[in-house]
Amino acid sequence: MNKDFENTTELLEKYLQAELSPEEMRHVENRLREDSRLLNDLNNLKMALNAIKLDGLKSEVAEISEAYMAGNRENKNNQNRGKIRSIGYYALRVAALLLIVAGSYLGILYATVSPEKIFAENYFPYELPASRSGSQTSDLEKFYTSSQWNQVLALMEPMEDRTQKELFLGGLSAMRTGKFQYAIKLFEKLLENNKANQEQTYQDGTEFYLALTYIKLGDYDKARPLFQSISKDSRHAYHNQVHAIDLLKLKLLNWKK
Amino acid sequence: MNTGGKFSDAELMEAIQKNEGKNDAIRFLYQEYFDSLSSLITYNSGSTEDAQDIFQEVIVSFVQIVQDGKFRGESSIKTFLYALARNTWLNELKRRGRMTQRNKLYEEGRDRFAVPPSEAFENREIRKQLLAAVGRLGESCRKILALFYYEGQSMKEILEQTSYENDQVVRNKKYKCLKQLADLINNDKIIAENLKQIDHEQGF
Repeated sequence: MNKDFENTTELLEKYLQAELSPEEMRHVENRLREDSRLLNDLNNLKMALNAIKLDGLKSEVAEISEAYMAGNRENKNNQNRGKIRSIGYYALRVAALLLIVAGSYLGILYATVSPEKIFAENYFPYELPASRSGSQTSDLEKFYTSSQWNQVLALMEPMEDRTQKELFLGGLSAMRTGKFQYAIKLFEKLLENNKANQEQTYQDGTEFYLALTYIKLGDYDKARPLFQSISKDSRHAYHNQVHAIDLLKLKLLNWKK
Repeated sequence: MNTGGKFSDAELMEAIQKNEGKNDAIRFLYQEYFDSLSSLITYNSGSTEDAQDIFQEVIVSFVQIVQDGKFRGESSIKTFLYALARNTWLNELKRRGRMTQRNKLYEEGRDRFAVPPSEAFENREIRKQLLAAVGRLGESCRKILALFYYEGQSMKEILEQTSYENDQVVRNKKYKCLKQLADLINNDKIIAENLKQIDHEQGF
C-alpha cells in the first residue's frame, strides 16, 4: 500500500486526519505497534500539527493585541491632544467671533487649509509593540524598529510574497522616505488581500495611513471616504484620531482644487 | 451569534467553540480584562511588556482550552482567566529564576483547582519550543502550513495565493514543510527533556 503514498509523512498525516480506508488504518496501526521509530515519527507529526495550529492562533491573538495596544496609545495621545484642542477650541471660538465681525471663519479656514497641515496634524509614527519574550522578530521588523526604512523597502518585492504585516510596515516605511506613490501601492495591495480573504488584518491602521497618504498627494476624493468611515465607526482603532473638522477641511481642499 | 458589543460568558464560549465571531470575542476579552489582569502582573515584579505577553499567552491558552472542551464553566471566565494569568506569570518567574520572597508569599495563595495540572510549567516550555520551531521554518513553508492546517483552505485556494505551478507542487511542498517541522521538533533537546520529565512524573 505504500506505493499510494509518496512518503511516510503523507501516510501518517492521512492516518492522523482519518483520511485512510479502514483497511489502511488497520495496516498503519499494526505497523505502529511493531515499529517504535514509526511511532516516534507519528508523535512528532502530531506535535508539528499542534504547533502549526498554536502558531496560527497566536498570530491571530497577537494582531488583536497589537490593535488593542495601538488603540490604547492613541486614546492616551488623544486625551492629551484633546486638552490642547480644548484650549485651541475656545481660542478658535474667540477667533471665530472676531472673524464673524471681519468676515467668516470658514473663509479663513478656506484660505489657510493645506494638505501639509492636515497631514501634520493627524500623522503620528506607528510603533511596533516592544519585542516579546520568546517571540520571533523578523529582519524586516528589526529594520523597521531601528528606522532603517530603505532596508525595509528593499525587502518588499515580490509584493505577492509579503505578509499583511510586512506590507503594512513597508507602506509606513515608504511614507517615512517620501515615496508616497509606493506607499499607496503597498497599502492598496494589503486592502485587496484582506478583501479577497475576507480578513481584517492591519485593516484599521492601513485605512488611516492610506488616507493620510492620499491627502499628501492631493487625492482628497479617495481620502474622504476613508476618513468618513473611520469617523463613523466607534470600534475603529483610529476612530479617535479623525474629527469632523478634518472632514470639513478635506471638503474645503476639494473646492480649492 | 453575537455580532459585536458585549458578550455574556455563554456567548463568549459559543463564539470561540464554533469559531464564529471568535475574533470579536477575543477583542471583548481584551477590552474587559486586560487592564485588571495586567495590573496583576505589574504589581508582582512584571513590566508592561510582561503584562502584554502574559495576557496574550493566557488568551491563546484559554481559546485552546475552550475549543478542546476542557473549560467546564465551574467558575466564571473572569475567575478562570485570573487564575490562568496568575499561574502563567508564576511559571514565567520560575523560568527566569528570579523568584523573590515576595513572589513566594504570593504563590502560597495560588489556585490549585482552577487550572488543570496538564497546563504546568513543562507544557508551557514545550509550547514555547513548538512555536520557536515553527518560527525557524521559511516564510513560504509557514504560509502553506498555516493556510492548510489552521485556516482550512483547499490546495486550489492556496495555489491562488502562491506562485507555484499547480496544486500537486503545493501538495508536495506542504509535505516537505511538514516533515521539516517534525524533524525540527524531533531534534529539539528542550522538548525531549520536557517530554521525559512528564513521562517520569506520570510514572511511565
